[in-house]
Amino acid sequence: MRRFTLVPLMALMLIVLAACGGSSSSSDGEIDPDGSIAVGIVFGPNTLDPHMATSELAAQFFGLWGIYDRLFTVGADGVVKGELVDDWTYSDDGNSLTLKLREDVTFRDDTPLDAAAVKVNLDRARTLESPVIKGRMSVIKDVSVASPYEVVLTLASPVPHVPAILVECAGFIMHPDLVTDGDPATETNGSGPYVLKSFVPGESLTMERDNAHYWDPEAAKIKTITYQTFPDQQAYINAVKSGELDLGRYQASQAKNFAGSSDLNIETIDQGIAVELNFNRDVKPFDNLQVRQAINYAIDRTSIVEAFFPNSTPKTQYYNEGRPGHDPAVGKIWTFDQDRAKDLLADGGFPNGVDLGVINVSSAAPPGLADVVQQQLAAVGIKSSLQTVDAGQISPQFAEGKAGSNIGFTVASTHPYNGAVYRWLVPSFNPAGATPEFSQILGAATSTATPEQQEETYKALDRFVVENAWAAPLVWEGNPWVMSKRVKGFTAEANLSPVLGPLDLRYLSVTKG
Amino acid sequence: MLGFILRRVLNLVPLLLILTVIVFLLVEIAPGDPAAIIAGPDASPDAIAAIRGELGLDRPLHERYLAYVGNAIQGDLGTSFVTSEPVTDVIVRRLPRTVGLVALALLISVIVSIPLGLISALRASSIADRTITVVSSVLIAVPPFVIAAVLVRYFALGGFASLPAVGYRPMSDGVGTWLTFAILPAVTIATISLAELTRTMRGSVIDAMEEDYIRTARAKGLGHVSIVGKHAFKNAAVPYVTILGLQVGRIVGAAVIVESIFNVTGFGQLGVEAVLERDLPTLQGVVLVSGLIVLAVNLLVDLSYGYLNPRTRTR
Repeated sequence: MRRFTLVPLMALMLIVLAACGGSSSSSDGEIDPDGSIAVGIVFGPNTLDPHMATSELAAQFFGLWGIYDRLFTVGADGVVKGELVDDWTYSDDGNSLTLKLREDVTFRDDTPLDAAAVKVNLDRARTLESPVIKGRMSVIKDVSVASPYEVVLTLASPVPHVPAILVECAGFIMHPDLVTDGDPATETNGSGPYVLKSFVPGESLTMERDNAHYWDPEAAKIKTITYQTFPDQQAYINAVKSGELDLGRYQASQAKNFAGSSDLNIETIDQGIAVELNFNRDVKPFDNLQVRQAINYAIDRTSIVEAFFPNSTPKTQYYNEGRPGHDPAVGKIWTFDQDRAKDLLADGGFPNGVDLGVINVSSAAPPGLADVVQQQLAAVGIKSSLQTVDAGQISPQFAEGKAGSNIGFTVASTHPYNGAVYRWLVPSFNPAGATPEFSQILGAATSTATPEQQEETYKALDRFVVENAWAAPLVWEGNPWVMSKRVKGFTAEANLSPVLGPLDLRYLSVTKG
Repeated sequence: MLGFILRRVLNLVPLLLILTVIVFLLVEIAPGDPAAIIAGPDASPDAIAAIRGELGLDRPLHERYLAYVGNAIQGDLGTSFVTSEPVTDVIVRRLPRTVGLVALALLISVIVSIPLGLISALRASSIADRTITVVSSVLIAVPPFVIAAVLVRYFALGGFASLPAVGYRPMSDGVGTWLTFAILPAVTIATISLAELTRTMRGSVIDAMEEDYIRTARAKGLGHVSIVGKHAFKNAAVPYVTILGLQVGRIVGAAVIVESIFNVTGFGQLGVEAVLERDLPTLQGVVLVSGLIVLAVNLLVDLSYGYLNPRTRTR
């Protein structure tokens, strides 16, 4: 009797267990053409207007890359290349740049994206009272249409980085009607493979594929992409671990949170984000060269990287390896040498040490980093006190010129020339500004110089700012991009990877399930 | 009744005015330039100055304040410095999320604290009473962000359940969906008041059970349930409701932290963002609405006294 009852019961259990088991066919690996993903970002833009962007990374990442096409992009090798531009040439004197556009791009109402459309956009970018873009576009004096698909930019001087400026938000091309009659802050109308579905400033953005006429048939494999902001770092980490997010970029110091996560894929990308101890050379004692040099010798960058920044590298110069301007010899100047630091302090008139005053520390910096830096400086007689400042305020406060130093983040730029401009000529990162010698070196990097000459100029610039200790670079971050296993096609070889990160998701896909 | 309500509303007006003055002054003296924050780190000084002019930040403080008050009286709370949205629109979008969480948290607090308080009071000094008291003490001592971290660890990131660790869904997506996302943040918020309400109920019931009218009720032969439920509980509810009213303000404040942990873009988060971004119009709007919420809650508490204690109705 017992056996009679037991056998059917066991059979029933087996049937139930088998039914509970997942199917191994449709959910593993089959691409879902109607799939959707949720992407996280720490802060999002408050406007859809690319010309009013205040953060390149936030604006581009938060959907603009999919809604609009841009004139240029940057390849995985860090070199600028055309996107809407097929070919470009500088004039012999370097004072003008001719752009030849591809002729197969239209907006959704079949209006061609031609030279006239580009002129409308670039003229707006040059003249609109915007916090950032107008200043960057000041290198362009005039925009004219030479032929239906040829645009000529007249330049204020023969600078080499104009295509790189047009990789940035200034290079996004909106429908001329939106520019002239619409409100780009709240509406979109682009030629990109996605259309806007919803936008809540600073909170979320959803876009949906609409690429029936798109010139790149391989683009937009994911139907719906939703961006969500996460001001709280722990919530951001929890979101991807719990499956609420499919993709997010994190700080190097957060990599340990994902260790052992078997249901996540992680790609570490060096996208030019760095942590630095910035100096204001107008404030004592940072006006003293020996003090600034002593600080650089006192810091043990290797131990800092090991303790706080997994998969990252010490930063000892301003152009990263593999990018123009990088000089291995310059990278060897700042070694960890406490005796040399003390000697420099003595040479500088501080044989008994020096007090730097308050070092402002970005709230986004890893906890404990500033304390370690403070201790390393104290070991050679350099005293300081620390004050945490909200990440959103640390740069504006530094630009006011009263603070002597801060520990904060810097980002790479799309070109070594504008990298030098944004790093050293913007008060937020260098309140003391440039010197005549700096300007003279930078001035040699014209568009008429050969690539080799430009390379030598950037190397000279790099050596100049390192030898003169305009700051104390600390770390090149290896940022972990964390994603669910549904996400396919993510690669460090994507466009923009070395400068803004692989934020252009056009070739990503997702699997079913 | 109407007169009573009107008097309370009128009493709030000077309070709100004082609050707005304090907020104006605090933002003015706090370090950081709103225009520089809006413009971003790469902006030129000229661009920052232009933004300052557009926002009217170069006008004298008293001029700006009077203009704000004048508009607010007409229902215009201004435009966000940061998003350029009408402040009213932003508040209308965000407030329901916080109201939903707070309401659910209060419901949980009341549903749990009343029976626990009763058990604790009616079985004073028993093991049950001591257990409830110890747990209450622990909940009072532990900060909400610690409770949130524990809940996320065991109920979202594996363990006992797989609830969402972050996010919020409106009720229009379905009550079940709303509850799935709201339960963890609401339970976190509830723990803040749950312990105090339990202890308040315990103390109030113990006091009530020692009153003469309870002895009279027993002498008359009334059953235990009737004595506790009809007589003791109603009188014990007066201090309970008072504490509950006070807890609302505390819960709304705690919602700021909890919303951040669970990434609920609610009213509490809005206040934090407004402070960090020096978004004065939004901050003023948050202060005004918070003041009105406190008024409404205090009114409800006062009105409930009339129901619970008939002697107060004649006043």
